[in-house]
Amino acid sequence: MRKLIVAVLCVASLSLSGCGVFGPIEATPGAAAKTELPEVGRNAQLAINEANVTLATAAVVIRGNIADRVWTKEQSQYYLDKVKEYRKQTDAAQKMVDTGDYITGGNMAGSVRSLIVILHREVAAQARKEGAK
Amino acid sequence: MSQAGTLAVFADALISAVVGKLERDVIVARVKEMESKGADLAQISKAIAAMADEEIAKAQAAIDKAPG
Repeated sequence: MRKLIVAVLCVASLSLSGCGVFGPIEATPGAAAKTELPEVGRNAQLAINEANVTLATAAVVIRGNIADRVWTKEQSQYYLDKVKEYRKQTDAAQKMVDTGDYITGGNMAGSVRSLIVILHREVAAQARKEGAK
Repeated sequence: MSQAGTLAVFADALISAVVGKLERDVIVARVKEMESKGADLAQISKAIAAMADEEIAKAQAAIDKAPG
């Protein structure tokens, strides 16, 4: 029963693509005023932040599922490896933004975010499958 | 919505549901504290990246510790 509840929560939480989690992450007006980034750079930075928050979320979900034994070690490692791979990509996007290549950085972050959404769907489908067992 | 506000929504929807209120409070408090100290976008971005790394490390530790 506990496994089912965790799986349901996992699916519910991962299905919130229309909610704030996947929405734009905005800095406070004060923070925006202090930054020296141009608008395009700021947007790229926000896309990177959005991707990183989503990755942190995925890692928390994975940790919860291994701790509650919803997933096997292998399943958890598979998903975490994906998260690590995407984290490297957001890091690369950050380096682009840091060097002033805002367009490439923003595009990279956008691509990573799309991949993360696909991963989330995969994770949700897996959790659903496990919950049904 | 502010960074902390967005994270609060994120935490309410996800972290709180999956691993509990404590985790949510820790993450939101971290960003709020930075904002209150006048952190700029770059600093907040670094904090979020560090948070992602930290959660990934915690997940890896949990996997390593798991039997089988």
